[in-house]
Amino acid sequence: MHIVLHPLLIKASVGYRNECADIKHIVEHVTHLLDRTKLFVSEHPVGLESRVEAAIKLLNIQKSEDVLLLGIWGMGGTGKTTIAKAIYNQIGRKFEGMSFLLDVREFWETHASLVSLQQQVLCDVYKTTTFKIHDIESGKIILKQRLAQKRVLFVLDDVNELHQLNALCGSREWFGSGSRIIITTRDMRLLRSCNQVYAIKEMNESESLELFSWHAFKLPSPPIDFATHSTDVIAYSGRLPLALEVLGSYLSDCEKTEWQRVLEKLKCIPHDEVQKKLRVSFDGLKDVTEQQIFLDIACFFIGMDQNDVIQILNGCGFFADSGMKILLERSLVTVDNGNKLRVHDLLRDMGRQIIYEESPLDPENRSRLWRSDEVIDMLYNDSNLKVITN
Amino acid sequence: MLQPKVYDVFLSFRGEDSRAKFMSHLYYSLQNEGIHAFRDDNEIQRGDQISISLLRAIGQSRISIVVLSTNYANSRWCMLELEKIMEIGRTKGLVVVPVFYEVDPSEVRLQKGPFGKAFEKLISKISVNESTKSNWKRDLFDIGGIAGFVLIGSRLLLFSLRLLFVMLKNS
Repeated sequence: MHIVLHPLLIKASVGYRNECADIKHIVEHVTHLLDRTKLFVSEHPVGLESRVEAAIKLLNIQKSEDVLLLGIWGMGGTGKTTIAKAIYNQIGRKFEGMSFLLDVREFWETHASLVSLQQQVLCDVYKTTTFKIHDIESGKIILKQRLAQKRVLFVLDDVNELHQLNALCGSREWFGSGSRIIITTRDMRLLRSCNQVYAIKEMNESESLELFSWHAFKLPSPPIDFATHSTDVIAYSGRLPLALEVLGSYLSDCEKTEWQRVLEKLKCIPHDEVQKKLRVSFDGLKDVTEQQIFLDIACFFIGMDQNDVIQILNGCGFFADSGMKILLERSLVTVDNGNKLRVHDLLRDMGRQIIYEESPLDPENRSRLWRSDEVIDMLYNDSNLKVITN
Repeated sequence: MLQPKVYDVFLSFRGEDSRAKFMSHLYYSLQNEGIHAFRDDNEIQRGDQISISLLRAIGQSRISIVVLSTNYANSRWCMLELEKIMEIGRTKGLVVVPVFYEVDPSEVRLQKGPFGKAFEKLISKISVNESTKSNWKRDLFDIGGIAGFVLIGSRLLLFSLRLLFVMLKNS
């Protein structure tokens, strides 16, 4: 007689139980259930897969033990952030720590400080808030000390100035071996220190038609009687994903006459003036309060919980529930999986431009102020606050 | 409007039972992963009535880990907690993750063995009306059927010896 014992059985029969491993399994399971590392990418990820694959290939994750910086470069609205998010979701689990800094430029412009971003990186990677950073310079030293101990995936989204890079990823030596850093930007000059640069591939004709159709008709291709109108709109919007999304969503419940009107408008806008093309959708908001709600969000409420914002706006006398619904349908505003409001930076800038044009020279005469320096200036100089709505 | 989720995890356990080391290790491992856990470790406050803040914490959690140890069902407090957890699990989608700590899931399900005995003791010790009793029995039956973690050392030893015995007999 011969009995072969399964190794697991032997392990069990000596009464061995590894509590550490048990706890690790429970924590992994809970992490999986919470699924918090996943970022919301896109409702209609047309053409995303091939671009993400190409970028991941450049990251060369398997091979290199070196630290590698990848730049993702393209103009606004081409989908840099979307691609970076998808990469982050796909490969993040292979690293010991991960951090995604969304909208660095926006943060810098409104807060004029990078210390809390430094803090956030440490918080993301080490999962604690025990690190206290007092100023940029000491933050650099702490980041270098801490990050060098881990193999991390770190994304800096929408960087527009060199000092932002200096404060957040000074050099390769800051990061543990095998780390990968991804920087998205419109400015090629900021990517000099990168090993690889992925220049976003423009959408081809069929991709842009598909993306537009999902938003305009909830279908992968347009119905026959809208086919020529659709290809015209796409031609005028320059195959830019953001413009396709916004214009498609705007036209989705419109009659043919409205399509005609929009086409006439688009024809007159030069190809490179994307903001003006996006403005067509803003101008198309039928209700003035919808426009006001959009402007409020663009100036003050990005990153806040949708429900909180609706409450605040209702408190200001808007009927924000229906207004918000329209803005979401029109893709002017999106909500991520934490129920936080997001506005694409081109749309946000468009909104702020509208406010700016109310009174280009005198901030005091604008309906909204969002930059802390302008607000402080005005509070110091003038106590007459009649025009400011917020 | 949805109730905001303040905690990622609500930990329910029998303080004196599931070894303090295991619970604090689990708690800090969760914290280290950035998972915000609520653990009711304030033994002093434990009276007969489950506190309102505790009930609220259950409602404000996304997941509840229930560590079912031998004497879990011997505590009125734990059973009230479990009742609430299972109720919110049924009605509001709280995700319940049982951890069977040196206890076989079937013991929980059918209230047998040492786990069942501990439950019987509680029932005979305190005055519980029939509906609460049947609620608790149903909750134990339900949670015993949820896929979770079975952490058994010594019991598995018995099982494997028995298996070995059967294999020897059959060969």
